[in-house]
Amino acid sequence: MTPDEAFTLLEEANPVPDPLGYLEAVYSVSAVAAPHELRRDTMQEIDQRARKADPSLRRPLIAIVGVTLVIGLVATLVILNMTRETPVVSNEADAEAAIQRVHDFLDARSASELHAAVGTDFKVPQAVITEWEWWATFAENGYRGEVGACTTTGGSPSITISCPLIPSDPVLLALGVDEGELGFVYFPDAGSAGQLKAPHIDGGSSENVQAYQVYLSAYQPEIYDQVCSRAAYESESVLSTNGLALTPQCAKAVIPYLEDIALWIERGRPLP
Amino acid sequence: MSRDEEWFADFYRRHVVSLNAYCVRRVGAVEAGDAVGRTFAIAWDRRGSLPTGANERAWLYGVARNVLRHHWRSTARSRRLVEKVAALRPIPPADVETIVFERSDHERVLQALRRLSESDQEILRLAAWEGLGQRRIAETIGITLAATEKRLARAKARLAYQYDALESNRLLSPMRKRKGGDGR
Repeated sequence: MTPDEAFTLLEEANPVPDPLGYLEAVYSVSAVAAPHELRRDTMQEIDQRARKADPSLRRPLIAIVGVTLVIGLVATLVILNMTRETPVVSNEADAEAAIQRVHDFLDARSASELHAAVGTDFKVPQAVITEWEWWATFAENGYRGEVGACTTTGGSPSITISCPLIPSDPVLLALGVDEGELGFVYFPDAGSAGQLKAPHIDGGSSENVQAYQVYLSAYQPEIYDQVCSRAAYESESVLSTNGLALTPQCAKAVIPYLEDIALWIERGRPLP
Repeated sequence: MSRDEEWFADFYRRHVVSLNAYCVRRVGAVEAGDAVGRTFAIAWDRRGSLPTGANERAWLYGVARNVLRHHWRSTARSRRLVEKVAALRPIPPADVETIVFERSDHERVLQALRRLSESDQEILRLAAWEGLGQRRIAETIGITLAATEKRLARAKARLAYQYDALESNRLLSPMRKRKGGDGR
């Protein structure tokens, strides 16, 4: 392969080929320009971390507060400008419809059920659709997580929905992930919805997937080689993360070892 | 135009999409938000000395690069144990949480990229993914135009070499198939 060919291939492999589409689809406008309070809290946390790590960044508290307030204001300006409509308080029917739409999504147990339940206008990252069978396998085996009471904020043209999620995967719990958050946006006028925030869904976050990969390759190499290594599959359409093939076959192989993997993490991940 | 809140709102709107993509490409979606916020906070702090026009984006990328470096340093300790265990078998680093559709040749070229030095990786990412010309790359990473040309050419050659090495390994390895699978 020539250097230019390799470079062209790298261009094609761009993880975010369409930055605007990515931002709209994955985070949506309201996730980027988050509510004032959320943004302010985030910025304060970031500043505090930076101050601890880098003495040169130590500035008077008033400056930090000023920056965070400005960022919050900017975020608000951006969302107002991009939506070009004045938000109004959502009515109860819209909020109920939004939550129902989200539950349709969460109750799906397979890719086909997912499509049937939410239709094509439910915007989720492509990976959610293509990996649904992997996640659904965890759900079918009791590792779905418990979705708490969803709350809604905002109004026309969009409602932001937030649902707490308590994972049931012992590996996630061993990793200290004891609560996640599902984030969605719903557009009442169009009746469409989209996922904003990818949660630590059981079986789906990179933290536990990496633990599965390391444990299986070290302690169950035959299983790993047969169904979980990306190299075990010739098809280009098989997805993987951290080298682990996200297929239903691999999910079924991983599930019996979840407790063992959790214990292994708690013991400090010893070598075999 | 004075650099007040209105000016900053416009600045933010002009750059948030590309800066977010820049960060997602390097640390994944989950952690990119923090990096974007931190970068804009620094931009606000230094708004009096920000460059103008086409140089704005290169300046922002340079700041974001330092923010991400700091992030990598601070998380290095927690990753060390995982990497030690992971070294039992070759796996790609878990630096990108975003789960992407992985075509095998794309996966391979990304794996080849990760085998390069950080400076080679960055110059290739800036050229291939951020779409920066050589002059803007030079401004972003703080080197001369001539040095940029040379570094980019060398990085492309190393990328091709690593890709070929991975491809050779793949062809030499016996094909492993799933037991009872459908032959995919």
